[in-house]
Amino acid sequence: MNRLHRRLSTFSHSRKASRSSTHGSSIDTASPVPHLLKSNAPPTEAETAEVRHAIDNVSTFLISTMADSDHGANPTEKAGPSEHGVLGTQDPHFVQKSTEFIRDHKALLSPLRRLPPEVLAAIFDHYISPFPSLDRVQYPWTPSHVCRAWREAALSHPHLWSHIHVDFCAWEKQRLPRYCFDFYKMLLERSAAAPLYVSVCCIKWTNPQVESFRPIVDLLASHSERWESFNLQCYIDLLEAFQSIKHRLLLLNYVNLAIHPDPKEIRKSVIDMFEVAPKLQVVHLSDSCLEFKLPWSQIIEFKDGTCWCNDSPLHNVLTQSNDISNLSARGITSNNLGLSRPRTSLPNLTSFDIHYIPLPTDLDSISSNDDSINSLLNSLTLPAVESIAITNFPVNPIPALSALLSRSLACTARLQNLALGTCLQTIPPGELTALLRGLDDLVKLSIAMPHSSDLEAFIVRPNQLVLLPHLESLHIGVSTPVYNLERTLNEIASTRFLESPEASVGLASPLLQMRLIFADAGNCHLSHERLEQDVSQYILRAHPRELQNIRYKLEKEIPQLSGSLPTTPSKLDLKINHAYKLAKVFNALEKHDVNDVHDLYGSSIHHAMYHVANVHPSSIPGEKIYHFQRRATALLKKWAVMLLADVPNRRWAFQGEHSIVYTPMFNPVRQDPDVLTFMIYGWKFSAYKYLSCSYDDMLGRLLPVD
Amino acid sequence: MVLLVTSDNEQFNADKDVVERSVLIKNMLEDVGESDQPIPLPNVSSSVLKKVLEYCEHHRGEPLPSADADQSQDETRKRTTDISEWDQKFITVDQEMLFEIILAANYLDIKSLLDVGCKTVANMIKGKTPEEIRKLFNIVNDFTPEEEAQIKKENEWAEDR
Repeated sequence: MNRLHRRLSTFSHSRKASRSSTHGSSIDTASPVPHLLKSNAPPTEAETAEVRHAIDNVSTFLISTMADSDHGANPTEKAGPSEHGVLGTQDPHFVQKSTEFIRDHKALLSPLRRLPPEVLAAIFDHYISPFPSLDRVQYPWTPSHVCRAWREAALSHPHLWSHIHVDFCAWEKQRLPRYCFDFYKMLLERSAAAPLYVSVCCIKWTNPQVESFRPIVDLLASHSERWESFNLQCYIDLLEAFQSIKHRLLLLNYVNLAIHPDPKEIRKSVIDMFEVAPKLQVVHLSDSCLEFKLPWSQIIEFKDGTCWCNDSPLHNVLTQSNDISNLSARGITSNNLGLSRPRTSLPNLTSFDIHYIPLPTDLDSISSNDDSINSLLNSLTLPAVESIAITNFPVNPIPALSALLSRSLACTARLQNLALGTCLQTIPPGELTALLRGLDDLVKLSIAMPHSSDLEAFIVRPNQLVLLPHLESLHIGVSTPVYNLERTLNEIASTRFLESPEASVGLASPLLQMRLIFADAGNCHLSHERLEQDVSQYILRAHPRELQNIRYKLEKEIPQLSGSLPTTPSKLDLKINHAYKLAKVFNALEKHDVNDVHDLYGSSIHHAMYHVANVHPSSIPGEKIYHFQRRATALLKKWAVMLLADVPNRRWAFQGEHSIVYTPMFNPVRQDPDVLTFMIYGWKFSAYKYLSCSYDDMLGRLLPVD
Repeated sequence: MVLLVTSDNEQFNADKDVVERSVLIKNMLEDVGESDQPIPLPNVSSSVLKKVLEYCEHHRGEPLPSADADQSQDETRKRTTDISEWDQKFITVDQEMLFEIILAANYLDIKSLLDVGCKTVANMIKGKTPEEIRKLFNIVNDFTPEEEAQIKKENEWAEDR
């Protein structure tokens, strides 16, 4: 280091002289801290000063030499010899080497070197999956392979290795792959004493050969004292293989079991391995007809998506889970609804969700006059309830729901969220409005399209009592196109949304989201245009007929566009035939001059092209020959100009697959460079967009969009 | 108002409810009580404190994370899957400033700012190989041959399982 100082000070004294002399000019580029260049340790204060000094000198030298060069002097002509560790300007790589010296030494000063291990661990925590899910669990492999400091940080934080996801479906055969056991053993060792989040998926193997999976199952089970959550998707045989965890679930708080029944035989197994788990509070079940013995008195959240042919889970929750706060039964049947029950109060239940599944005999046996179907609702008192969902209900649930609310809540206004829907019968006009009049604090409402008079009640009118003044989110399920309701829907939106940040509405809270959800893409597109026509007063012209014809032909060649599942032609010649016909359709479309954006809206041809451009190439016959995706993208690009110019005239934007949302003028999405995706095509492309699905399925699929 | 003094001896005056987003400063103020004495921040330079105060000013009044929030790593991850638009613009700085902000947020105990910084770095390394990360941050590969061999084995395990 003294050598460097001497050299540098000599240089600083001699630099002026060297400029005027013909003697060579050089700088010592031996690092003052060579040991740091080979490690990632932070420099000490003294070393920092030395490094800064060295960087300054080399920078100054470089700048002055470059300046000389700019003034016509050729540094190499007057350069001195280049020695080891001393960089002369005659060196052909002089600039590059100087720059590298500066870069390498600046890196030594990077605050990255000073990050403590716990901060590195926090970075790795964000690096791995944002939330454990079956298909996205990651470990900090890559960061732990960068350098020793990062590796030490990763290995010294056991929680980074505590999500143990075993995907038996990824196995090619039902045979333990090489390294598999060692891999999970290593993860369990690295997770040290951290609570484990275990998930196992084995649904691929309908007839699991349990002995093949046994080493991994036993390995996981041997750490069951550390399980905090357990997520299992499998056939029943594999669940039974975990029997050894019984009485060894000290930390288990959450269980999610999707257990498929044995396809060969119907077994009425009793699963008792979770019966003793002192911290178990949250249980989610689906797909199973098994009888579970659970610590019912501890359960605070119970969700079951199974068709409840027997009543025991519901009975156990209602009679034993006194602290239950969240109850969801998404497969409730008339057996459960109609069973006579004692009056039950669930003092802590805040969220109550039942979804009815019809049994074959229900259509004949359930009548609107028969109150026995309301037995479950009539038996309950829910004094803390904030959220209720009664969906797909066989009869009009409003009378029983109104009675439940008035018996449960001193003030019914406390209800925050409500979802209502019927399947076998409709709600008579006026009843929905009468129910909602008492729910002043309601923030979120999800309903099937109500009678027009009930829909009109949502419009805010001057000097009239406002329905649901705190409503922020309104979802309406629509089974048919919105004929004759366009004006009402637009008026609800225009009177309940803020159209600018400065505007005000006569409401406690303006609407933040209004979404219409359709069963299929056809209805969605048609209804969308009808709503826009109502706003803009434009009338679809007759002549998109040619475009519509092109679209029909497209649907014939790409069946997904008409809502059919993709099919693979059985013979090669058929596939070629498809491709040839599709090429003709594309030729016609490319020749067609689209001058009016309403022709696009009227034919939805732009949506069809968007689908072609984004779907997997294997779904498009002849893609490799005719390059339909590239051509579709070119057409979209051409039409984008028209569509962009028309965005200010649009009020409703596509969201998800089959839904549209009202988009006020000041919504930032309108300024987004990707506004066409957000408003015209719908964020998140789905290859299955054109398949119809139920309202509930749509709600599920819309969750990630929200 | 609270007077803060940085490592390069620059003084900053800031509202109490702004600086109290730092748990370190909040605790110091509670310990000291009402006082005009400046609070020294020897680990934070003026350029970094300026950015930190800009963040605290913007998020003034927002609820602070509860003391037991970091007990559950899963909860932490759930809360911070995205960075807000403002935060994203705020944290669009050069690498040196990014890491300085992270160090300052850690030292001053401003959990939400630390989260924003860590998430940003995590996003920068996502999808990159170890070599690409080394190049991005000028990190030296300082593994011993034995460690390299273990890493190679881990890669095989992860691929083959």
